[in-house]
Amino acid sequence: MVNKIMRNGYVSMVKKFLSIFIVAFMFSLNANAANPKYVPGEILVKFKDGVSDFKKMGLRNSALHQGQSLRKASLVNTISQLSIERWALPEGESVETAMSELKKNESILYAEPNYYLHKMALPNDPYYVDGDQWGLGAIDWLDVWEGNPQPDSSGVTVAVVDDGVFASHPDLDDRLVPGWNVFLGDSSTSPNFDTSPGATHGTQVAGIIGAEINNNTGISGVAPGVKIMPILFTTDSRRTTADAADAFYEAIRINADIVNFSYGAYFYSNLLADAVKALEDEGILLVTSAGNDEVNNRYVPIYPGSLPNKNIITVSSVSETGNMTEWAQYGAFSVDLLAPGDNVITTSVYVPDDPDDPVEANYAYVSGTSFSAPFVAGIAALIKGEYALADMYEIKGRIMAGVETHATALDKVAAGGIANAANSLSVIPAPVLVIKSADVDSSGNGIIDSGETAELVIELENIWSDATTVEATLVPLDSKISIEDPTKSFGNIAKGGTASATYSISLDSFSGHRHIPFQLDISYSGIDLAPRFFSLESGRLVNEVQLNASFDNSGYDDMHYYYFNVPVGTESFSITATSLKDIDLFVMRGARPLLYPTMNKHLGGEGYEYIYDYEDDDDLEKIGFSRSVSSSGNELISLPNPVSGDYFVAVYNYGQSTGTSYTISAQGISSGSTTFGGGGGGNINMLLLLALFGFGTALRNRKH
Amino acid sequence: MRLYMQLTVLLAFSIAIVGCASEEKVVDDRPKPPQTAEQQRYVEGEIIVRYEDNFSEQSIHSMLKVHGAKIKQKLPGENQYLIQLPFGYLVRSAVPLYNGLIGVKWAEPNYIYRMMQQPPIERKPPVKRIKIRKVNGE
Repeated sequence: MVNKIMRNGYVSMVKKFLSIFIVAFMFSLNANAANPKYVPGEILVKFKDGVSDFKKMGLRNSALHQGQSLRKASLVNTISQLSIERWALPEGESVETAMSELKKNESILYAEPNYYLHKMALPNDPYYVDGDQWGLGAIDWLDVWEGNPQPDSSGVTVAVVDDGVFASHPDLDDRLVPGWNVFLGDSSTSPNFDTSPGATHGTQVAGIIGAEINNNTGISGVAPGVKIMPILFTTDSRRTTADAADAFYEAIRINADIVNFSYGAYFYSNLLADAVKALEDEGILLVTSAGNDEVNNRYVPIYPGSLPNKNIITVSSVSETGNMTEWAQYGAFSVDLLAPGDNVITTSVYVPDDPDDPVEANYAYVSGTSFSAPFVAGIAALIKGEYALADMYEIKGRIMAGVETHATALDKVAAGGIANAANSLSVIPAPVLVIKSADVDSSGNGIIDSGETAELVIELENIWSDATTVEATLVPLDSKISIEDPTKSFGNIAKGGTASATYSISLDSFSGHRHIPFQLDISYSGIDLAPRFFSLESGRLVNEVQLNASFDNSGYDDMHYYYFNVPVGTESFSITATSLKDIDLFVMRGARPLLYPTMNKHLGGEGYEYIYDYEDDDDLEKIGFSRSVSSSGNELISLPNPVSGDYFVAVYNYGQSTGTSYTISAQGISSGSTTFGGGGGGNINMLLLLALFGFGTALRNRKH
Repeated sequence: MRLYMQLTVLLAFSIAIVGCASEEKVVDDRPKPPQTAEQQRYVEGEIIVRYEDNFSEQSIHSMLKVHGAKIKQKLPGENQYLIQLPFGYLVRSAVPLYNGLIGVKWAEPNYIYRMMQQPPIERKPPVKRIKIRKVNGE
């Protein structure tokens, strides 16, 4: 019984002690916005057994350092059974200093800060509790949620421009505010599953942004208090520029702070560009997806993500492994950062086959950069909630400055890493400089060749605070590159501004294809900023010279570009590529061939299907575009009577095998029936080749 | 003469070989996906046109009538319209035509956007309880 009483007393004491912590925690909620981990000016001191009260008092009033005035710390309360005193330190004495001194005292077992008990704030949402929401961990979300004060995004509105949001979902219903239906011209934005049975996308996006927290249901969103404004712009049968632009203007009209648009098209639209500009003029951030077709958006732009507006954040995908997802699109100048987009759980809708059965709220694992964007939209809402006066520059600047860099992302996205909510909220205002473009040999054909010295123009963009005296040192990460005068001045770059500098780079001789990586070390006023990374690409075909090359093992190297110069008087030329794996070959005159390898499995098929920005064979002929896309690794393109100039060649790793090797060569025939530099004509080989090209061309034409 | 005969034989032989080899190359035998909205690039039968600021809606109606087209929807922004083309008139013909008309700033297809989601994942989330909330206080 005595033991029980003692135990109860002890428990009561501990509870009392905990309550003191909580009171302190509550008091501090409004006291400090910098997310402190412990109560400022307080310390907990544990004495060794046998230390008298008199001695304890003496320690409270002892000199901090010899020759200084008495401490005069005051006793707040005591837990006598634990021999712990809670002290309030005198003004001006830091917790760290007091701890450092007291730990040396022989009468004291330990001294430590009075930590806040944040664990009590852990969400109770079942999928979170069971560890299914890996995405929140990847963006360091818990540190934000455990912060003091907890984040409050209740004053922030995120417009989800999508196929509607299921208004009865118990994890979303309290978060929804009236939106807009561009088809009906009203606020009925819950999908009509009779006409759009697959309309679950918007509900899935919305859950990642702001599903309810601590409701013992489903998941927690990134910004659980945020207002979600659905703007329905698509149905199963329609998903167009006109409707998307309409939705963006509606987002302005109904005062959204942030817009999430998890859609894209490979075709530039004036109308959409104007609508994005209208958002930018209103200071509204547009968070959008980079795409899932694993190509470099530098060469294959996707819109709106590749538009140059300063209010756009383009997001690609990271997997649970921490690596950039293999199908994710990337671009060091056109994609901003990564966020979870592979196998993430979110709110969804179950639409039964039988229309008489009710539609039900449920949850689903989903993948795609569609779901990376809302993670960042959620972080943007957290920032806007914490810093109410933050404009689009600050929100984007915080997001970009806060990334955790990752090896697979360094030269793939502008910020070089993965979105991090905790960092983004705590980063101090500073310039955020990223590379907007890096164009080499712009007076030539835009490619640096083996053995060539060329100008490289680098344009920096400052996303956040004004930067003075910006300098950048270009560091080659390829031993074949040398740089004359690698440090250049960019002058002052104001918030939102850009500046350029020109470097002279030389590439030693090599054979084949080469990715050439660089690091750019950037500073302003002598203060170092995060380095940025990018790569150039070099590959030139020389007549009758066979090159050997291979796609690297990274899983992200799928397209190799070359060029081939066709002189005046050429009767025909051919490009041959051979591999044991399935590769495809494309050629276009004057520019890189634009091809969009779209995943057929997305459409229920296998492999990839190419979408071209050209209408039909007539258009292809006009622009000098040819393709060879057999199911083997033997590809041949022959062009009779070609217009002279540079032809660009793309080899696509259709089979997606890492380390795929191939050979590629070009063969041209001049008007004198000789190969370029063939040194004479009329031999048997040339006749054979002519015959070969003649047949090849005939067959190619039949194919088209 | 002898050289000519040799050449002829060699040519015939090489043509036969090349012909057989090339036959493989021209067939894209990979499975083709169904033609779905995902593959369409734009909506057939309609285009978006931005007219000069000084063109009234009435004058635009008149201009469109000449080409058998009509306004399908007034779009947000200045003087921008979704135009319904006459039946059978292809977008690829209409866009260059309208871009050449006086008073037209630009004309473009009504492009189709793609959801950036990957194929549905077979993995089902473990069943959790979903809070049932009564509707309308019932």
